[in-house]
Amino acid sequence: MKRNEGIPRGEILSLLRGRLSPSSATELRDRIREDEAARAMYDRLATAEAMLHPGALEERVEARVLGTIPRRRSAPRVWMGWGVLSAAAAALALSLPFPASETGGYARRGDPNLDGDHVLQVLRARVGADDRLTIEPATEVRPGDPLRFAVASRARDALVSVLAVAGNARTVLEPATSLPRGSQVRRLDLSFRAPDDLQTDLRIVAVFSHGGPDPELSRIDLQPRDTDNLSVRVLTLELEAQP
Amino acid sequence: MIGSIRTTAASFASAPTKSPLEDQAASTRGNPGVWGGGSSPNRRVAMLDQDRRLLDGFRKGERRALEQVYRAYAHELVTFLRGGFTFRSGDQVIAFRGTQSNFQIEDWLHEVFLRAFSDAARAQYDGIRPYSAYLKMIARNLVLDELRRKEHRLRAQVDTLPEPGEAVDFEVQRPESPEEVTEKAQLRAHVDEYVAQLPPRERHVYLGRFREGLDQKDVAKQVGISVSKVKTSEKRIREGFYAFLIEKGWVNP
Repeated sequence: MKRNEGIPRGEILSLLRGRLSPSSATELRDRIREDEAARAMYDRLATAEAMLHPGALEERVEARVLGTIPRRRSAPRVWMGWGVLSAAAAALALSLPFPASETGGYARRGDPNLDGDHVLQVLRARVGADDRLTIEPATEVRPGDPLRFAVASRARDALVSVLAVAGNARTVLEPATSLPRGSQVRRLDLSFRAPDDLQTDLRIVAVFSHGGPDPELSRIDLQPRDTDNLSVRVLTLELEAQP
Repeated sequence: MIGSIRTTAASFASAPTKSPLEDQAASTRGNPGVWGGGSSPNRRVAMLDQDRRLLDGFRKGERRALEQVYRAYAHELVTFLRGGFTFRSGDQVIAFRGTQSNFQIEDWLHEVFLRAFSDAARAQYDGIRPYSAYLKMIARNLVLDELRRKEHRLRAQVDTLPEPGEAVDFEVQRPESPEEVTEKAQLRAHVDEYVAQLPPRERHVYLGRFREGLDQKDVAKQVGISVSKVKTSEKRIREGFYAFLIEKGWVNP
C-alpha cells in the first residue's frame, strides 16, 4: 500500500475510530476530500474495518447524523448555575470522583482588566444521582482564558450532545455534537471563542438522550486551555435529559 | 443534460409500492447482524410505515425515533448507493453504477439523512408508502446533483457528448476491478485468520459485538466479564487487527 504523505495514516485511523472531536473530524474530512491519496487510504482502511466489523460504516455516520439533527427541548431539565465564582467556589468542594491529576497542568493567566473576584474557580462538574450537578474545584480559569470542553460518557445507550451557547440569544458557539450511542468512554474536545459582545453569561448545554444521563457514569469536564481571546464572566451548566 | 431528471415528490407518489412486509423483508435481508437482522433482539428495528408510535415520534422530530429510523434504513441506503441506479435524462437512459468509496458513501449517507430528517421532509412523508423509497428518492437527487456538478467538468474535457436517444453509462466511479475483488478476498482471509487466532474470550467479544451487534452489557453478561473489559477487548481487537494487517503486508508499517 502506497503511503500517503499528505495526511498521516494515524489521523485517518483516528477519524475512522471516532476519536476526533466533531470539528476536527469535519476539518479532516474536508482535507481528505481534496486529497486523492488520502481518500484512497481512507477507503482501504475503512474496507478493512468493515470486513472486521460489518456495520462500522453505518455506525460512524450515525454519530454524524444524530449529532447534527435539530434538537428538541424536553423535560426534565436541571439547571445549575453559578455566578461569578471565586474563592466561594472552593466551598463547593465535594468528593472527587476522578483523579485530580486529570485537571492539572494548565497555564493560568489572569486578565489585567479584571480583579480577582472574577476568577472562575471551578470547572468540573458531575451529574449526581439526584440529577443535580456536582461541582468540584479543580483549577482556576480567569476571564480571558479560552476554554476547552471535554465530555465523556460511559452510559450504555446514552447519547450525549454538547453545544455551547452564549447570552440569551443562545448563540451556538460550537455546532452540536454527540458521542456515539453505546460508545466506550470517549472524549469530545470542543473549543471555541466567545463572541466579542459576550458580557453576561455562557452556557454549556449537554443533552443526554435515552432517559437522561447515567448518574454514575456520565460526567462533564470543563477545562481551560492555554490559548487566548475568550472572555468568560459567568458559567452556567445546563443538563437536559431527553426521555 | 441532467437538469431535467430530478426525481420529484410527484414521481415518488406514483412510484409502485411494496407491501410493508415486503419492505421489512427486504430490509431484514439487508441488515445482517449489527443492523437488526434478527440475531439480536436488542437491535431489532421497527419500520416507519408499520409502527404508528414510531411515526408519531418521527414527525415530532424526537431524537429516539430518528435514531430508530436511521438504524432501520441506513444499511439499505448504503446498499442502494453502492449498487447504483438508472435514470432518464431527456431521451437517454443513464446508469449510475454506484460507488465503492467508503468515504463517498459516508458523505452521501450523512447528507441523505440530514435532508430526510429536516422538518419539511418529515412532514412530507405520508407514513403509508415504504419509507425506504422516500429515502432513495432523496439519495437519488443527491447523486444527480453530484453528477450535474461533475458534468460541467466533463464538458470541458470531451468534444462530443452522447447524442440524444443514445443510452450511455454515466460512470462516476469505476466498478470494482478483478484486482480489487481479489484483494477483498485476501482481506477476508486475513480477517478469518485473525479472528481464529484470537483468545477465546476476545473471540466471544468479537462475535457478540461486531458480528451479532449485541450491546456491550449483553456481551459482558454472556462472556462473564465486566463491561469495561468488553470495551478493552474491543479496542485490543481493533488495534490488533491493524497490527496483523501490517504483519501480513496489507498495510505498510
